[in-house]
Amino acid sequence: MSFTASQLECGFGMEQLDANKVVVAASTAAAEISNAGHIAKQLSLVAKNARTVVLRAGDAALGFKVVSDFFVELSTSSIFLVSQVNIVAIELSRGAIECWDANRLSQKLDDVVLRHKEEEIEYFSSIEPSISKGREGTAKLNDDLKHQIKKLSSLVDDIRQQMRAGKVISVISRIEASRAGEFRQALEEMADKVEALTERMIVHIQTAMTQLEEAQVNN
Amino acid sequence: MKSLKIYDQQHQWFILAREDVKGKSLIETNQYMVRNGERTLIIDPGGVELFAPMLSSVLQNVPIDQVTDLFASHQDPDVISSLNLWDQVLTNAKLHAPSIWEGFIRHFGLNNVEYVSVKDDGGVVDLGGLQLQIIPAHYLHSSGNIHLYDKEAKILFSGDVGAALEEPASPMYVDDFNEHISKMEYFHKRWMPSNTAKSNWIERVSRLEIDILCPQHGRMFKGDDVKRFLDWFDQLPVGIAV
Ligand SMILES: [Fe+2]
Ligand SMILES: [Fe+2]
Repeated sequence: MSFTASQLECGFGMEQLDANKVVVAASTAAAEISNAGHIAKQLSLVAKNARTVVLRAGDAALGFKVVSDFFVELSTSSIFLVSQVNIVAIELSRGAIECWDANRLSQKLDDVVLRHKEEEIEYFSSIEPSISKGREGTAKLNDDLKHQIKKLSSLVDDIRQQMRAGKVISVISRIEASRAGEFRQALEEMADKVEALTERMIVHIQTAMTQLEEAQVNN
Repeated sequence: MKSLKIYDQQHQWFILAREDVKGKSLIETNQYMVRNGERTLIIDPGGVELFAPMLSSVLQNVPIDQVTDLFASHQDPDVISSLNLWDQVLTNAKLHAPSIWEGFIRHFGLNNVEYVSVKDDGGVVDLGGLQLQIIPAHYLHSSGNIHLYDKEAKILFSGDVGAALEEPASPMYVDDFNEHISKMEYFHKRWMPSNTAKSNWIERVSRLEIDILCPQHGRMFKGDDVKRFLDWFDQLPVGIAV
């Protein structure tokens, strides 16, 4: 079966979401963020290793200690945010599918209305409550969907902010590594890894963000 | 969609059929409706594409709140893929369908309508006192398949048994049995998997008094054509794809 984009719009009135687009956006965003989550786990390992090196280095790597602590914390909190994103993305997909179902019924009932205009249907009035309930339902679902998509975007944005901060700190970490004497090479390698992982996470987060933004654009 | 009353006494039987869904390559289906007072049963309500014409047709005859029961002979999409839509407009209804398909049919989306699981040995649909007998027809063609017999009206709804692949707008009843064979032969040979199941069903159904045999596709069989069909089906080898 195929619908045109306009037929899939959920809700009535001016600002309608395309339920089909929302389902795809929510799933894509969830997949991208879960990829970012895998990278966050690698980041956590690198940061923990760095902390071990720092402990061994003692005073020689004091500056790097702050950096490695920061990344351990950053990875922990982004792993948590990723799990939150997954929960909200599943809610959002479910909401969009509900919206899609309700809308599909509304279209079919519109068809019955047309048939009634062509040739009077004796018990048409008995279906009228379903027709108006369907319209109210799709409107409400559309509002819920907008709310959920905003919630998801804001969570993704939190991760993005964190990673941006992470990127700045990763630059500082290289300076700190260069001051760590005999541990310099080990720490520099770690700083490189941290920077690369952070950048890869940002790419995934950005893709997720773009998907969610596009799904919010009205047709 | 055409609707025709095929039995009209204390309770009524309708066939709702011959909807021409253009350009969709859909197999044509017959839907049936039994009304008894303020209770109405829809038999094999049909696919998604047929929902709007079906609902319109039903509403020509009964108000929506009197549609209290649905019946699905098996799990096929042409039989019941409209379920999710019916589920949203029926406030207090039951779906009678084979127990082995419950977990499958629920995938169509079922939130309001109650699934009444029909055991392998059949049972009864009580439609406001009218007892409709559920006849097991497993492996004809589906592995969990049921038919519905109305003893009072002498009508047997036979699902895909008796089906014919027809042109749209064909007559409602078989008028020349011999000519009709060519429209049924391949369907039965190819879709029906088991000669054993077939013989067993014919043996049971032959004991029933049947005035009208109502298949889900094609034309209905009336009077002597019912026996002609049973005899023809009896000698037909099925399950030809292996
Ligand atoms: Fe079938
Ligand atoms: Fe069928």
